[in-house]
Amino acid sequence: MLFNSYIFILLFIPLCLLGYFLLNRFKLYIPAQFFLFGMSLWFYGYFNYRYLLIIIVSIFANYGLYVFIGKFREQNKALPFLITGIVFNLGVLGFFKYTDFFIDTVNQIFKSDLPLLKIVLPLGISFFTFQQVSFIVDTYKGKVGKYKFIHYASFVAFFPQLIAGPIVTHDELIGQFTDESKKRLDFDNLTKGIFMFTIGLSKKVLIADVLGAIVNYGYVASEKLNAGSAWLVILCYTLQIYFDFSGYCDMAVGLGKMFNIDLPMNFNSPYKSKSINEFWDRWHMTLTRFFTRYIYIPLGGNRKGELRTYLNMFIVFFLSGLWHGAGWNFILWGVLHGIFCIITRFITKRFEKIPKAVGYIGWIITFIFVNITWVFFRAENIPAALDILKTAFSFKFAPIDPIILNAFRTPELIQLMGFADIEQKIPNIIPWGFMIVSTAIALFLPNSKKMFDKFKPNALTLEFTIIFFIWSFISLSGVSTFLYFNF
Amino acid sequence: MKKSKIFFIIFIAVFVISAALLGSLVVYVDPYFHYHAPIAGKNYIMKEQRYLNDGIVKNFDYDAAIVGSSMTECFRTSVMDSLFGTKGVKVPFSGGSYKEVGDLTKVACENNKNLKMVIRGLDCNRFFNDKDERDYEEDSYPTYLYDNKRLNDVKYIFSKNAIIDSMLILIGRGEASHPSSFDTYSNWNSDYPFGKDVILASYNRDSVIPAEKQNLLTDEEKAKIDGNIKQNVTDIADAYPDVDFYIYYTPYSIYYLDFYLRSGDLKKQIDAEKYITSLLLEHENIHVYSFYMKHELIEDPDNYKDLAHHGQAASDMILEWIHEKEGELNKDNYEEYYEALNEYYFSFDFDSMF
Repeated sequence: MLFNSYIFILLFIPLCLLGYFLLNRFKLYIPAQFFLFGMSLWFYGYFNYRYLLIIIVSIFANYGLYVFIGKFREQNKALPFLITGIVFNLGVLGFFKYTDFFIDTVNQIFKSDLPLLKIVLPLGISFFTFQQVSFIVDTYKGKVGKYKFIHYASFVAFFPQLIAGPIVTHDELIGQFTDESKKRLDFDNLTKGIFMFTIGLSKKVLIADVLGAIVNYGYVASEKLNAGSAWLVILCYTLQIYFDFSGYCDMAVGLGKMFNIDLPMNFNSPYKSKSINEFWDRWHMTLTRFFTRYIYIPLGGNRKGELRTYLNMFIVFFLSGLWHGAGWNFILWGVLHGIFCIITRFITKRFEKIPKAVGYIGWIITFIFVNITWVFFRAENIPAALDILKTAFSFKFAPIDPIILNAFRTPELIQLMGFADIEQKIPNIIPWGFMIVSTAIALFLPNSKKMFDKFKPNALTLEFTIIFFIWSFISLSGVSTFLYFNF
Repeated sequence: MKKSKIFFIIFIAVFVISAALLGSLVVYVDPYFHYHAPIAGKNYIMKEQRYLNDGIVKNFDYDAAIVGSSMTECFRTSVMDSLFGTKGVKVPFSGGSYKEVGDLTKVACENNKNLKMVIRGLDCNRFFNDKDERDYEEDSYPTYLYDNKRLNDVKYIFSKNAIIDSMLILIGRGEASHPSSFDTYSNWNSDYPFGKDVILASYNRDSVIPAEKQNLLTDEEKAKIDGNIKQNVTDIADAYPDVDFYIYYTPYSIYYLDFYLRSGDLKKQIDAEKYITSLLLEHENIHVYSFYMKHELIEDPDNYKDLAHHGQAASDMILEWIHEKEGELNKDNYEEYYEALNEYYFSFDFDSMF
């Protein structure tokens, strides 16, 4: 199930809130927790019921390992279980996510013809694998208290964060599940949650999905693009991935809040960053946290000399690229970011204080770099990415492809601009207006988490929530502009 | 009462009321004709074929239908109606495959007991398609309009496009000719220039290597045709013996035939058409037409906007020919016809057309 679907909004979430708080009201805390777990499984299984087996086995196996590690830790005999846990989790992830990539790479190197297995990647597996690895490692380190099975299970499966993060750690969530003060319906939290959910839904549906249609077209019909269209498509993707992903995480935070559960912030207006290192402190923050805690620091972090620090950074970014997708284009994307981070660190370390003007230049360089590297992330493969970049850097400008411009013209914008024939007076105000507004939101508006923290239920926030919620709700489905592109 | 509680109550109330109002509006106006025929006296907005056609064939009052791909878009039902004395609808699918067009035909036959006549253009460039070919991504197709499940209609009644269309229709900002006439539905005749210049602009003849040897129809291709024609054409005709199916091969311009010749496929195309004709003629309620010997159509570039697509004037001619039974093939004449076709085009001076 997706957050941005009718079944989720009209059926799932009302039912889930109602059941959860009703059971808790009668102090049936454990049944309420089972109910939440059950609903989360429905949420997950709705995509594909076969996924359920994977996640259930994974939860049982990890909880079992937790029990064993707890038992043998005192006697210093828990290491085999830790290794088993890491190998098991990464093995499952590796099998589902990387088998075909591995076979394909072998085929290319040895010119062989091994058949691909065409394994369907279970949604969110990258997220819940990391979550459970961190759990097992922390257990081994003695940082984990006594958890009931149901609390652990509902931590892993908790639907708001299940399929696209944030990557929550056990200590962030399980403590909240056991806290009895959080078991009562709280209207302050409920409204705050609705407000945040609305922000996220609007980012996803009203902005990201419109841009997404253009990006899909641009990457499929890349040979038809000119330099201007190519740059526009590149920028569209930069905005799309941010609004899509951060919108999804905002919805997750909002949903958590409805259940009185605080989830960590995952995006802090990343495109405002003045350096690439700052970007990674603001983009997918819970992933950066995971890599820092469980890879960078165990490798020695920055405590083993400058060269070793750079090597550690490189390893982290290489793995991050691989985690993001099973393809060389993702690895290249990660490596490019890694190299740029290393260079930035190398330079900035040699200056005591960086003048303000450099900051603005830093922003420009960072933003352009991020835009260009996203091309590798989005394209099917490296040659396809290079094609788009070649077109963009040919600087052979021509009028923008009308198909792209038309895709910005959503039905409500057409009507809105049609009232006073505005589009006739200012040609293409819809596409350019859309780009300017969405770029400005990413660059200048306060981050949604800030708006969330400051939220007060009043007339203004109510109007905002109602308008954007209904607007997004009626935008969940409609005529797919790009349905006809195949013809 | 707590401020947040008031916030919540107002939010839910406004949302529920708005959703109920908007949903009712869409059900009442029904811009895609999913529930009922158009409201009398209201002009509708008819643009999105894949959202409209299913509703049209299910809920309109008609006894004849024109179905096919973009090759049938410029037909005028008024011409058909005056010739055949019918009350017709036109439901084209731009880029529609045999499967997609066939499925819609089936829905029409199933839902309309008055249906007596279907005119269908059979696309010659899709002879060898797989029988289940559908040229679009399943995710982006509005399947919720095609099934009979009421629950997934939320995707329709709460969709922005349907809501805005309903409002426009209600305040009288629909399109004047819709739905009273199907002549203008999807008709692009006035949107494009026609003639030799525009056709040649889209045809890069030099890039095609002249083929000395013509490819022949293989058994594999015949098997593909068997499946494609049986599932998407003849099975439907057999299931509805009271409906007459007028099936014609979409007549492409002479330049398309030049392309086939030079790519080595002209012989194969003609043989495939002949083979399909032999299959179709086994069914009593199927009437087969081929217009490739209508030189005033095929060889006049002014009928076409590109290699394949003919405009409204040619569509009118086709309807008249069907009515006059010109170009009709039967068991007695079809072998002779294809022999003549072969002879004519393999001795045709294509260079004279450039």
